[in-house]
Amino acid sequence: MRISNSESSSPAGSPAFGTKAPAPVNAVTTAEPVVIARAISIAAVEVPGVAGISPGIFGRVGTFAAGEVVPGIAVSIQDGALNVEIHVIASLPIITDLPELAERIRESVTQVIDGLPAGQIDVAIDDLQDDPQEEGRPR
Amino acid sequence: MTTTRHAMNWLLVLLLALAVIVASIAVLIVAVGWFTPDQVAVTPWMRDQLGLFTNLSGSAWARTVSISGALIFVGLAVLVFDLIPGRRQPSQLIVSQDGRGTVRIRRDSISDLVNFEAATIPGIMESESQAEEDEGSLAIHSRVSVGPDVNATEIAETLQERVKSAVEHHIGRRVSQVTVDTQLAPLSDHRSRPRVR
Repeated sequence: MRISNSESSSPAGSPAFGTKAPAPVNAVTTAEPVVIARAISIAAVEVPGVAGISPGIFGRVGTFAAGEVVPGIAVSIQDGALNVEIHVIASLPIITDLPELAERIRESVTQVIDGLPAGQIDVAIDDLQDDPQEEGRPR
Repeated sequence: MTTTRHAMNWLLVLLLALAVIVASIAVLIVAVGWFTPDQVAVTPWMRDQLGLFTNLSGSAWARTVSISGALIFVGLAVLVFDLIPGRRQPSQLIVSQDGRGTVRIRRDSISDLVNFEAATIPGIMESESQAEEDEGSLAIHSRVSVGPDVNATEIAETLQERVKSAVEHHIGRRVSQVTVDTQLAPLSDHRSRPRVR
């Protein structure tokens, strides 16, 4: 899933992240942080070795919007760059060593926000969890 | 799951410590006579309970005051121990850090990995582990419960090797020490995590 070049309108007063689109008439392509977070969340759980997204202790990590929260993915904009903090649960048995897993998650996030100026992508592995789907795989 | 459980335990301890402190202060100031139960209590039930500590005399008064004082001290000690940063090891380890961002892992996850490795060794019934940072490397302490018909020394050595190898390979941090305590009895501690499948 990629969110670049997808247009969405930003409600008044709601901060949106935007880039000048290459398209015709100075159109600005915008994406709400919560939309970006949702896309990142979907992409991250598809990375092999990720058992799920962790909302952090007391569920305090997330991207919050009116009526919606994307747990475990904190998207913020600082100095024009998009910073992402993503909390995951890795699956047991570990099929990829954790630094490599974090790298794959980063690549996945980078693909999702392709076209937007990326800042830091922090990955936190909050837990390890038995994953029945990984049981049969060679270690 | 482990993370959540530990966080909830921590919160529960904090709330209990606060409750003990508040209750002990209330009893103390009523027993000493600085305030009446009506001034302190927020509910009729609480007023009735505090009323038991008014007009005490002799040894009953001394016992009440000393026990209240001790409980306040213990409650404050628990609060300080749990709340002051630096007294506990950070809950997360930094695996890597560069211009692109930081990769962190919770220490409890390392314990999960160690317990997972322990569960793969025949003869180990239960395990619980802790990981601590030790000058850039990791020191791991593990308690395992083993069956009666196994060689505990061999099992401990096997576990040491597997844990060191697994943690260094999967997490990328050097393991300086793996301490294994074996016992025949089940791990009675409520934190123990049966991993036999």
